[in-house]
Amino acid sequence: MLMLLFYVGDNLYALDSSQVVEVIPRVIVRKIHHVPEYVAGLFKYRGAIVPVIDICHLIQGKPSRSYLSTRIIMVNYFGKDNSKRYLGLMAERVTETLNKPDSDLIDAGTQLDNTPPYLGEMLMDDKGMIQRIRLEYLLSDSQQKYLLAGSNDKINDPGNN
Amino acid sequence: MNNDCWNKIGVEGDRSCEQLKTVIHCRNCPVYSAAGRSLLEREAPPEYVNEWTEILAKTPPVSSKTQVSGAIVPSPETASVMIFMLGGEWLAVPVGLLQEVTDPCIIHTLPHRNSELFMGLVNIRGEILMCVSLSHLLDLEDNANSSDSDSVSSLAAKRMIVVGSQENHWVFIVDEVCGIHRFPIRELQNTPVVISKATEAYTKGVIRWQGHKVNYLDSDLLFSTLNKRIL
Repeated sequence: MLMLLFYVGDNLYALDSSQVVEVIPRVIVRKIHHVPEYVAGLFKYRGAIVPVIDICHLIQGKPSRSYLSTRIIMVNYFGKDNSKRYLGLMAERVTETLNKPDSDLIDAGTQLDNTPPYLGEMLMDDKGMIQRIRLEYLLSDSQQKYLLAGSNDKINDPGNN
Repeated sequence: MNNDCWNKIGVEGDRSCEQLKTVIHCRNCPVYSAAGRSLLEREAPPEYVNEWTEILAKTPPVSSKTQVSGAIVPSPETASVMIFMLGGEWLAVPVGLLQEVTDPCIIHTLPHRNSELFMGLVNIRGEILMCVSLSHLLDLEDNANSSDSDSVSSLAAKRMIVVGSQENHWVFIVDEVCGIHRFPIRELQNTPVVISKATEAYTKGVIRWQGHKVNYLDSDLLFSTLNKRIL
């Protein structure tokens, strides 16, 4: 499995590359309110309005720094109804990929009842321990409904927003 | 991060670094690439962010169906073929079947398995493949007995082509590889009804290319015949 690596603080995380559309530089996002703080905002991505989630904020509670290496990973996100949407994930130091067999993923047994399910298995590497992010669990149902529902209309007619 | 070891003990310095024995050049060294990456650990200039915000907002959604300013867009109405010359005939195979074009290499014959059709085994990038005389299969005249004057140039143009679908790869020796041609499928002309040569049996149609008539080979039939006669 080819994985895209990124950092949250000093810790390495990995994302399965099969859902990654592209990695783009950090852009200016339009802040939206009354959403969880880790939602960085919305931006216009090739004619569509796409929400951006700040993974650093989501995991460690601090927003990503505005460095050159902070980038947005555009991913395909499949909702409950199997509809395909774009989602931007902002993370720090998105500069490398890693190819490791799936069997190298080790369940570290750190899953408590209240551990978010998107934090997946651990992976050992020269660079240190890498935790896999499970994209499919990244948004809980209610947030998914809010952020990604109805974005079909927006894709067709971005001018309304 | 001010440790610019590549300037001191690396390739720009006195080359005394122990790592150089294994990595050969500083650019292969993890220390060097880590230093390079650290250049990205800087505040992004606002113009940079603005510019990218604009670029990503503007680009229209990529549509694969429409023709964009002369760019070649794959569509069911066109086909790409690889055109080559063999025994004075122009032949074409679908480009999707072409695996490789290489210079001719040694053909290792197999004892008791030599026929006019099956020439032997060749080593293409470490893979042992079967080399088949396409000119024999298609009943084309061999160019070997043509006039001596152009034999040097024809030898230089000789190529081996590896053709096949997933499981079966065949190697053909051709006189010259002419290139890849793209044409609308409706321009494919039917084979003349009067068929005199065996080649025609493998011909799906005729393509006009640079004033020549090119035989578009029926690859399915070709491969199934080869499978039957050799495997």
